[in-house]
Amino acid sequence: MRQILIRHETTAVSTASKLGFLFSDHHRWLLQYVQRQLRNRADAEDTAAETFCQLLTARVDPESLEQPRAFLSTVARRLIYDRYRRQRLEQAYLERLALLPEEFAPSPEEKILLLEALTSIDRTLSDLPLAVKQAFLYSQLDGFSYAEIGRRLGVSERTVGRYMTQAIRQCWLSGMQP
Amino acid sequence: MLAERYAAVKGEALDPVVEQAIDWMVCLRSGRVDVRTEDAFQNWLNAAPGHAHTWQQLQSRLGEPYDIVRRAPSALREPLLQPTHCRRDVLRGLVGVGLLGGGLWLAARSDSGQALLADLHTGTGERRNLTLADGSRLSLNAGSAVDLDFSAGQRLLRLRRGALVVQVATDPSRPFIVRTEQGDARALGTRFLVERQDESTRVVVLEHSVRVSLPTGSQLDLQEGQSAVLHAARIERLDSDQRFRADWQEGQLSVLDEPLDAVIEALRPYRRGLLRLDPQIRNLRVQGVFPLDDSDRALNALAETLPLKIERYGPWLTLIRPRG
Repeated sequence: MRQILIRHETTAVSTASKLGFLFSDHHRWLLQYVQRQLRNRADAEDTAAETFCQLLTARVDPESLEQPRAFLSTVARRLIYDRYRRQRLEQAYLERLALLPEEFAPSPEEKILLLEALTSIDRTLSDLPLAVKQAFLYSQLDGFSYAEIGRRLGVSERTVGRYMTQAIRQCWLSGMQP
Repeated sequence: MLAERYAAVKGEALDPVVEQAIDWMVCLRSGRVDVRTEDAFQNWLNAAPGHAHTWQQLQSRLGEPYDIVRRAPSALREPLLQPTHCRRDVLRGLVGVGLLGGGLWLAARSDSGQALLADLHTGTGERRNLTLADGSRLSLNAGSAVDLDFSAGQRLLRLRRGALVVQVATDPSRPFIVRTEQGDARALGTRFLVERQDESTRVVVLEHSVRVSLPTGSQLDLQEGQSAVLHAARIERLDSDQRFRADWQEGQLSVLDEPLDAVIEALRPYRRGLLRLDPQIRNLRVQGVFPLDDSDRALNALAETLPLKIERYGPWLTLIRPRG
């Protein structure tokens, strides 16, 4: 099982090599777990590897994980869901681009930048209810007052304020991601 | 940080200063801000250095992507508000990611689903030499897939992914054609290589000659040692001798001054798992001959000659990073 090559000169066990052991202990299990959901071997391998990549980038100390498999599966599930959302978003974006009159169509570079921006926003807001997202985007993109947003959504100003707190909190939290 | 995020999503408290900054932001955007509120906000901002810093961080998280979307036609932000299936349905497979319509990008990305349906295919690290029904000799590089369509009028080979070299058996009544999305390579009694790339197809003539053509009708005859790249709308003739591209038949990857990412792409069909190249070093120039069947050795050789290091994490994750 432990057929990994770790090339670190330090005598103390580094975080990276502890991660190496984490991989060899759990990769087979994680791969099976992901494959049950994706049913495609190549994508499952990609997702499983990407999961470890995330731990690496986030510098998670494997010894701090009480239940490594629960943690790994949480990260993997997040990645699978992200893939699904990205796909949906891209489709909807391309459909709307196609409907746009020529004179409004962005340049090829703008199209890519815009898709990246939408993907990043969508990812940030993904856990929020639709009404919360809508309220936040009215404020963030259009600069509407809470009174105006409340009128459009049929809720009170206080509720709009609560939605805003929820959304901005989420924006803060997603900034924590690696 | 990751752990923090997952904990925090569940509604656990944030740092009190962050909570205060968020409250202020919600308050200032309401559209009902008077002078007293503004003063109070200024006081909070100046009360401690950490306040201004946190405020700035919060603002930067509401920055660039929103600016880009704000400038675009408003129809293009609608995708942000389309209903999506909830996480639980997606994860239980109820939505069929990779099974039904949602599988589009999966197929586009890896092609491996498609490739399994092809008539002939090779897996990771596997090369194959075959003799076709007409006596032609076909070599498939690792990670390649081909459909055969031989009829009375022609011998058609569809290269779905990867690369092949074919030694065509003579049959004047039935032309031999290798077809990709970009166009055709028609043998004029010959041995040649066809290799798929992201958006184009490379054709290299190893013996005799080949006629390449696009669906648009444009065509070009290539003689021994010549090569071309077929793009969607044009044929690009290559000046240099490209015959070394067929060296994979001997298990070798020959590289004459190419960017590192092209070399890594060529090694991919020979490795399982994820091979990730740091974008900072993708354009390093590489020269040399590398063994395909021992891709670990090939990577080590790269690390010896270039300012990069190879980090291996178990069998299916390898990172290539700048050294130092």
